[in-house]
Amino acid sequence: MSAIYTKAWYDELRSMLNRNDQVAKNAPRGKYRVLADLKGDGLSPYLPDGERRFFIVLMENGKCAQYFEAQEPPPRKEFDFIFEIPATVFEGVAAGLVDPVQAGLKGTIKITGDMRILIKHAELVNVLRDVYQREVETDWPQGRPPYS
Amino acid sequence: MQNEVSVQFADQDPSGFASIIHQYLTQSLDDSPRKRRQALRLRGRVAVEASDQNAAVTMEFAGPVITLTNGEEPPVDARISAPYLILSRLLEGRANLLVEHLRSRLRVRARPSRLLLPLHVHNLMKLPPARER
Repeated sequence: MSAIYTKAWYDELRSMLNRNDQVAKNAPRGKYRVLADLKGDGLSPYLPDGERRFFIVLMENGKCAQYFEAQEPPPRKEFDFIFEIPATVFEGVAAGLVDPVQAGLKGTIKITGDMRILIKHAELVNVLRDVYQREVETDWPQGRPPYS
Repeated sequence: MQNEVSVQFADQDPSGFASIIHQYLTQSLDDSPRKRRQALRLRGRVAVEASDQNAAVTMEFAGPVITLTNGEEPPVDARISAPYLILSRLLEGRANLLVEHLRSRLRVRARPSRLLLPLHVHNLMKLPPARER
């Protein structure tokens, strides 16, 4: 079990993604760079209000080639998809409390990118949610969502 | 530019669903003169609901302008309601509007004078075959 936002946690996620047949089946072919831009919203104990955390996922032919946190804000134009997510929402997804599809449709998660690819691989979102919720054991050293 | 079609929001704070549809339509129209011609011919208001997510968007087709409104904004000429994954399969072209309606996995309603509008909208919005890198 790895603590959220640690290198071990990202590595474990990458490994889980690559072992999951459904990810390989549902992910788009080709190379896609995805940026998750998390913002502290005053509730998460892991990201102070207004601070940001960036992590980058490189998908290559259905496999996760890289999954790491960037120390500096990367140039947005380098990415095929950008997900802007309040930290509490992301941690809610990781804890199995928040449905990422619903958050995307409501606009809690803001998505930028080629929507044709996203819609064509809509089932991947459910697969990723299951990986986060059922397969990765996340340790929450500063408390687990929901936060009061 | 000839055949120019713009997609705009009616609301100052568009929902996530409206934003996704906005990007989707803009990207599809930008890439396809045929789809722009199709869009220019369309007239009418269609509400699309992701029934399992309590999310809807109303699309108003008025030739060179397509306007997206958060939620279902009456009056509409047609309404398409289905779980999010069925809607995405429709857009992918992996599901057929009529077949899914007959299987009761999707509900389509249209004013009698606009019975073909849902089909025209589906034809406009569904993806062309395979486009990946």
